[in-house]
Amino acid sequence: MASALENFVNSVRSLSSSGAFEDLATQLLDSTEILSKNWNILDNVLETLDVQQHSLGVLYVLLAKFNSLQSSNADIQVLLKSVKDFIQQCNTYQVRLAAHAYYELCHQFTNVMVGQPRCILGLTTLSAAIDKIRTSDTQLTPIHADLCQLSLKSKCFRVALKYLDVDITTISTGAETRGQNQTVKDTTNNDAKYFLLYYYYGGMIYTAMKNYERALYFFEVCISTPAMAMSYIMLEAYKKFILVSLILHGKIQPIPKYASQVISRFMKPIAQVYHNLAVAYATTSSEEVRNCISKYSETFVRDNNMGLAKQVATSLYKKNIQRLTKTFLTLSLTDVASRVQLPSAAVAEKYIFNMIKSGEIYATINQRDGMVVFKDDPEKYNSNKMFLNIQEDMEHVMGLVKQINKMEEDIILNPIYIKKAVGNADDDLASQNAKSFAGDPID
Amino acid sequence: MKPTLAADEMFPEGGGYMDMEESGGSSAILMDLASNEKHVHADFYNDFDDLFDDEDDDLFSLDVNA
Repeated sequence: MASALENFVNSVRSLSSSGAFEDLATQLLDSTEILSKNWNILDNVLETLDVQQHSLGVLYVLLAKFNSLQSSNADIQVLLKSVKDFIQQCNTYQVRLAAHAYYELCHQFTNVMVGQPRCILGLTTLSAAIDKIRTSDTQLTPIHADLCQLSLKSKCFRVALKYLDVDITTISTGAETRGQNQTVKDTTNNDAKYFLLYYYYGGMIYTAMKNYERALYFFEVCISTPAMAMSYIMLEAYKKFILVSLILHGKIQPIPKYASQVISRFMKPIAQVYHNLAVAYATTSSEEVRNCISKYSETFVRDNNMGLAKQVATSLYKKNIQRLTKTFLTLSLTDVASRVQLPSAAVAEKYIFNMIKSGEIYATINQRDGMVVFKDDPEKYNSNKMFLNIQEDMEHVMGLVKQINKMEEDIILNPIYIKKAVGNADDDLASQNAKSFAGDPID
Repeated sequence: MKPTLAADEMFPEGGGYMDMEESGGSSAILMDLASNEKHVHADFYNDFDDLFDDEDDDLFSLDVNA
């Protein structure tokens, strides 16, 4: 065994010094087993390697240390520190040749970090890991999901939002460097899993930030990802998609046509409670909604969705108040409370005050008379600020059009696409010819 | 005659939306076969506190144990 490990060190050192990193990356694909079996002397191996010069070798050793964590009783804090140092110092070119191992190391790091009381400290490490491996700011990596997971656990969203706010144009997966030593099934599932997790966790972060539009988009991407089997990640995203839809639009938003049938065939029956809530919401009766939430409280609590369900109930009060603004110019707070089924005029006042503050309605409250006067939107769309807003939106849309054109061009020039398109045209010609000669007695 | 292959073939009919009730169809049996084999990602990490329980919004008393 020791000689196998010596071979490992010699290969890493000699191939690295000769610059044959591609060969080394291929060779290391089979080294995991040897390293894991020799977990007790991996520290000695690390001492012989330099993080910057032998990044590929160090990467595999660290990964093996995580894999043997249970049997080795290694000092977790030391190991976490090693990963942090490695990510800061490793050679980008080398680790990109073994991206799957790099991603796996980050997943293992996250798995351990998420159980630590000060898991917030892992955010900067994961952020640095993403910045190091991605080839552009708009590239999604499997580490993005890890970063969002730690953000949710530590309830610190600032770092993750920096990545979430950027629209993704390319996706990096571990399959690109993993090679053939793992089954296709494992490869596909893990890449899909971290893709789904990014959009599920991202949706949760935006929901916690009350950016419901962006949250709904993230949940929609998650549930409309092509699928042949039911994913529990998609199921949980679907439940939250329904709740956020109700908060934002008052009804369940349509699922895109390209979504998999798995949603309607399997997830809809499982998420029946959430559909019942949507039915109750459609009655516009706050009492119905509250009864529904009370009735299924066990399910909502179990799914960690009770807070969101309560927000659904709150949103109905707000929507009902918004409806009143379309009918009345002036109304007493007592009338508002009774019409929207709020317990008292004081609660109604608090709701209206909050809605004015957030710009959901335009009104003034006369506390002396206990009256509320509803007004029209004062925006005349003629201010400099509005002009700048529109200009900014137009620039954003033009950038998007440019991006779409570039992606279309890439597809049109893709040899596989051309082959398929030409093949189809040939098929059409052949079938037409076959028809015209079908009844020819000479042939 | 087969329809002409378009770059945006992923979005037939201009990327419209479907009513979920309408889903199903001829490929449903194949879906069943594949889907009945397994449910995936059952072990994904979802052990977070309820991050959406906003007391400020909870202006009315909702007795969840009622």
